[in-house]
Amino acid sequence: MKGLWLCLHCPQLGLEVLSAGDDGPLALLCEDGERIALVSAGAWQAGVRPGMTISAALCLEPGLRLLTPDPEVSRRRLEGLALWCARFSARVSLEPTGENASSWGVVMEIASMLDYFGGLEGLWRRLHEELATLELEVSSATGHTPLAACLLARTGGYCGQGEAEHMARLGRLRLDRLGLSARQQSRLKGLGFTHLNDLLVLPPASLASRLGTDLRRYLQRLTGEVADPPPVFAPPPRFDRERELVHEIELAAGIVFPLRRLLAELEGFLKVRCVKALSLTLTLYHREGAQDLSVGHAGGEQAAEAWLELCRLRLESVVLDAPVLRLRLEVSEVASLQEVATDLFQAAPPRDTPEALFSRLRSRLGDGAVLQPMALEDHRPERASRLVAQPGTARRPPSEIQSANHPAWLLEHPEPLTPATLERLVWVAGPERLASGWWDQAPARRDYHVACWPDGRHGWVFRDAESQWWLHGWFG
Amino acid sequence: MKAADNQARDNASDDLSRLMQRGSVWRARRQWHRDQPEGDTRRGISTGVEALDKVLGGGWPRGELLELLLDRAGCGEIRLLLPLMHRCERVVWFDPPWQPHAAALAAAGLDLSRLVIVRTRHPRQRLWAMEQALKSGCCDLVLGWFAAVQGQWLRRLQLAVASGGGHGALIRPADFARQGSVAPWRLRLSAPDQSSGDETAPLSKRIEVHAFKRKGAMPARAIDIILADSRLSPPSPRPTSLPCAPSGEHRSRPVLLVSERKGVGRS
Repeated sequence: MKGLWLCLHCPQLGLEVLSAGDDGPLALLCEDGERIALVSAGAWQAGVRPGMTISAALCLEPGLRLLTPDPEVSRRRLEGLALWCARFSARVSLEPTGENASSWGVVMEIASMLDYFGGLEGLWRRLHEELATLELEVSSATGHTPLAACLLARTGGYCGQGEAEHMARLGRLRLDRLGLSARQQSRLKGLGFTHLNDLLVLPPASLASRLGTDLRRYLQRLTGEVADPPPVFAPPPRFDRERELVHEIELAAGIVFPLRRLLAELEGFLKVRCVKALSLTLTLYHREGAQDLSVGHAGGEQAAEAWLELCRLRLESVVLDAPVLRLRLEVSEVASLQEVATDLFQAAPPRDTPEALFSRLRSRLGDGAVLQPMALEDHRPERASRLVAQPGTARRPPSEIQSANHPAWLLEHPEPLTPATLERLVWVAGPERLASGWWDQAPARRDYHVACWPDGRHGWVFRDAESQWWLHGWFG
Repeated sequence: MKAADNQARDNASDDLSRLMQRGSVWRARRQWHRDQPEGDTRRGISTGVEALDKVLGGGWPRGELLELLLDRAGCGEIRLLLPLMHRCERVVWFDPPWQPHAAALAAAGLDLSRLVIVRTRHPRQRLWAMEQALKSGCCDLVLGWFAAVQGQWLRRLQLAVASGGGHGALIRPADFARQGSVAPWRLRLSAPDQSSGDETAPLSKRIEVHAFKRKGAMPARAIDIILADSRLSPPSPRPTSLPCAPSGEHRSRPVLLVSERKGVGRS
């Protein structure tokens, strides 16, 4: 199973997911709750080290906050990282946690992605640029086998291209860093082996007969003699992720920043599933109750940047009911990816599709802001014209209805005309009799005329059955 | 000595051409004369009126902000812009003053699926939305109804329409004609009083178009356009692939009559 693998190892993950922005001295306990497993930077300065007993640590730093590990939270965060990694590779696996439960990481296959990112340097640079936004301590390393990548990542990180480079680096590793069992470690130590190189130079058959086949298989997985494909991480069927906020957020604009990570995970999820999201539901949890926002993109979109822009616009028009403690992002609608046909010979293609533009306008101005006129089959002008919110549904009017001599502008409600106004009008055309709607609640019997106003405009006026005159529109 | 002279002359002509590229130099030859339009004027969609095409230098300006200042809303702006709308793929109206009569627009030959109306609650939102539409490059014609607009926003809209490359027009009341504006094209539309009109037909409608600011040219004289029918008229079939109809074609169109008002030049 040779190739090129990349491991992202999160040494402090168990502590980071529980620290919730606390910068003070923190320590994570082991599973058994007797010793310290991980320490924060503040505790490290005070002299607290992993492996200490609780009493020793508290002697050194009385203000130390002790945290009990919560593997479930760590696992969810790691899955988020795996989704995020889908932007870089199609084969992502969770790093098998060895006997050390506080070791979390993600392994991905990158040999097939090198061309796409322009070589290993391009991928490495891009990965680290984006890792910087994740607020996680990550140590990353490449390796020619998954196990090699994991080992190198756990021991400080490394970036190399070929098998020889990786083996040279691995050979210098001390044996106690390999994650072997305590019994094996002590046996090897007793035999005088200190570094991995000491084992690799020995003939494998005699090594197996003296030290057991487990160690031999371990070395074969490490060097790549035996295939060792890690189980591929299967993304959840639905994207539904939450994020606890470090501080309570009181302004809607402040949600954009924590949302960035969820959207990056969303992009990975959509890439793995080969779909694009049409609408998202963002739930803002308050101390009591929650607030739902929905953000839509008419054409569908994968990119986190595009969604961030839409969410930003949506959040601008939101007033928070109460400070927000937790975010939850769900995908409510997805569509399969379709290639957009673009014109090869078009000199300057439009940079925006209409769908993207109108989605942006809707996000900022509200769903009812973007309208399309629709002509309906009715003789009454106020019913024949309607503005609808779904673009693309408008159709031509049926040919029986003659609207050619009607004005472009309609008043929402006809205005009554006073006799004084009527006197000053010059009658231009008419009458046109309209009698309709006797079958429903709004019967109309009107005589329409075109009249010229003293200021030169042409108005569309009618006299109703009660001989009252009304202005109904302007010939714009 | 002679070489130095040449050098100086070259430098001077370089400076001049740079200034001319920036549009800082006004050249008399470039002015669009009423009787002999320039050769390079075919750059926009024809207005359907030969005289107005000449005033606008060949048609509705593209990629440049146009301001239509109306004496009264409803004095003929839609009929004036209708030939342009017929030839645009996507038309967006921002906050028109009244509801558009969809059936009448459709009867006038406008494809309603190409028309989008955006309603905003606040002028700032409208400016932002209009800027987005102009910048997007996917809207051929963007019309926005405004009253007061700050100079800085006019500049932003002008930049947006220049980068998007479509047609963008602000429709404002004529009171704002006296205020300065960075829009390269400013047209004032007025419907003269009914008493002073020499109506040739009962339904005809005369509007006066005064281009008092033009790009690269002196202000034009006010011209009268007589829309022979005050109603919306369907377009005459013609090929849409022409970048701009040659000027001779309009003589065969009976719908629009043109007359030049005598003695009202306002340059």
